[in-house]
Amino acid sequence: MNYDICIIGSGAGAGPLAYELSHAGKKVVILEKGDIYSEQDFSKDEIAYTKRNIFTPQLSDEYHTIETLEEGKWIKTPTYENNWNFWNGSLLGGSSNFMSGFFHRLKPNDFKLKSIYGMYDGANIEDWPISYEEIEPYYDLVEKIVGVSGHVTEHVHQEPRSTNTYPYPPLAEHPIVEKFDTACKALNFTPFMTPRAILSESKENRNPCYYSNYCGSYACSSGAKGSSRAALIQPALATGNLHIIANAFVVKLETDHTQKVKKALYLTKEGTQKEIKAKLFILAAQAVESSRLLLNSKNAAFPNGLANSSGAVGKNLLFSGGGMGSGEFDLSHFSQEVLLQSGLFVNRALKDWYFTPKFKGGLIDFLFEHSNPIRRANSLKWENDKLIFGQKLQDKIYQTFTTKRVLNFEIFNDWMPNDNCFVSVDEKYKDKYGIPVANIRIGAHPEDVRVGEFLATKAVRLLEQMGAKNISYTISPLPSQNLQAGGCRFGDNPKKHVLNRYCQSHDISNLFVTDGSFMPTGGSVPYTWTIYANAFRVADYIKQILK
Amino acid sequence: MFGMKRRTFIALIATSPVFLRINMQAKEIPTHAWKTIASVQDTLLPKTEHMPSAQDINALFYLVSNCSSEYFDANDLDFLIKGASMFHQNFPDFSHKDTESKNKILEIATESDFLEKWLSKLIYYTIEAMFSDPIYGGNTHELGWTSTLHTTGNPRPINKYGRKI
Repeated sequence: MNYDICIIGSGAGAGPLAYELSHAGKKVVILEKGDIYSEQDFSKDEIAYTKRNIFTPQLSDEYHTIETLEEGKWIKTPTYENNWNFWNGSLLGGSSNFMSGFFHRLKPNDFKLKSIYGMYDGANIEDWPISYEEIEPYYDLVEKIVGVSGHVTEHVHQEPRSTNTYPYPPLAEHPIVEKFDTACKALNFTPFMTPRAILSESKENRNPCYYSNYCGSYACSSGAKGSSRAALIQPALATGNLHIIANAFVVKLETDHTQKVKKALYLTKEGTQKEIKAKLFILAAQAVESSRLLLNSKNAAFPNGLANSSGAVGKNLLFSGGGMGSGEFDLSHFSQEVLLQSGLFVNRALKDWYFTPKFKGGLIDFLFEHSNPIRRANSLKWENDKLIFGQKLQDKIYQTFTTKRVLNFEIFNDWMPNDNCFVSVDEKYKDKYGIPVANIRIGAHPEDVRVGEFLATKAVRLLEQMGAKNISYTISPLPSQNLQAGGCRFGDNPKKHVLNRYCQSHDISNLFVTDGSFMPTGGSVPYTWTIYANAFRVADYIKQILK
Repeated sequence: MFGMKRRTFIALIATSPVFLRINMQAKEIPTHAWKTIASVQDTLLPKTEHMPSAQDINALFYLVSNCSSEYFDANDLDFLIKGASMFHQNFPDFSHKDTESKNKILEIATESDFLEKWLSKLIYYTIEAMFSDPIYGGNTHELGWTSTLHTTGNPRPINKYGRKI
């Protein structure tokens, strides 16, 4: 069958396209690397969701190579050796199934970082080709279609909004937020209520949050979490215009003599090669894998890879700068019943230093440590670099679990794009199918760490004011692998940019890239909401050109 | 069999070379390795006033019945078995000692980087047995969760390893 649209991937960059184009009557096919799951299949199983590679490939079969700077040299390590897994969810809906759903919009000045702050030495920052005003209606659309709950907090860096409320009321909160808000008041900080892509009330076929106590890293069993699968693909399937081919690993896009993509070649789980033809192709396999596919699709007409006449595919890869920290609360703060009350959210953040007069700051999100008891208990076995065991370890596990609760903070600041953070492919490293794997060089800019340290001091002050104990934090130049963007920058110059302002390849008119790859800078927030909003924006453009 | 509880005994029966040949691609794991592991596990996580022991939560059975899974880290399994052999060579009478002596032996063992890593790995998998869903064979009667007042998430798994319903 010939499709109008072929979408590669089904996560945040894919769902809005599938939703909009299938509703517009287009025949759409999704090629998803993983399997199809529904709410009934999901559970709160710590082993399956956090301790084994169930929803990602086995690293011995399919891996990445990671380049890190060690003593002045870039050292390449396959991830099957270091267990650093850069797959974030090979299943329908991709990694959006497992997100925590901290939904923060970018702010107008995030779109013009270079104009506001000038150049940072060694960083390749540049302004976006579009403004906040162009994407704002789509942020609003995501709030309504995907579903965002919360309360709008007025603060010094508040971005303009077309509405002054979220469509869904805030989720229930743990009493610790009273301490948070009181401490903020004492310090003259603004307690920001974090919007969440989690339904507090039912929406069509999706049930509201039931406070399961196991949220981040787990797929949602009620459909409350605004994953691409639950919020967008399921309604798209109901149109009858969307077909999903699961366990389809796309290994190459082939072009024809008109220099358009003609078909996608994919491998089944068994390794059998198949192909799909379509009029238009949308690549949304998450930033690293999207660049990998374009580079691996090189041919005589496109010897450096598809969409890569600029040589920019894979370049200026983005993660998120920052780190995380924590403070402990115990029975001196709350009764045991209140302290251990499970399922309720914290949903507080600090944005007072999102911008500072002299440098770009960032965001601090606060949340309870995830419930995962295996991880928590195992983390207690070392004291001063010495292994503890026996009665001492058992007592420590018991005391910690029954009398303490950890409030974490996560810092998000801009990952400065630079020449040493990119995706490439290397013919020497191939997966079990014989396809070159993505090599990821991870070079962080010193500013990433400096800003992270600056923000951490603010978070620590707040925890101290709250009376937290054993406060600590870590700011690292090594990123979290689940926050990926960049690699296929959008912009108006075909010599510099992979994509135009509509995320359409400058070189190949029927090829779009709609995951986070398009971002020239990532802002200081998790990327998912912006990826969703941008994908809705691109969908509007595609609908226009297909009329 | 050094005062072994019945379920540990059953777990050891299940570790016969024939059983493992079927599940481990011809990789035989000697029964004495499992005996060593069982004995050390119960010293690493003993019964206390508030907490169940490794035996109480079926830690050995958990390890035996899950280590042949395609999702179990093959390097970890190899390391656990090699470590057990080395530990047994160094401390052949461990299982016959009293609790105080066993603890002293483990203290001595931690002075070796290799054995300290092995003990750390063994603690990890014993903790997995204590706090994972009972569907995996450990956490008997949810003792790990109830002892620590842990509220688990719902729904609980119906199938192991995220298999679809």
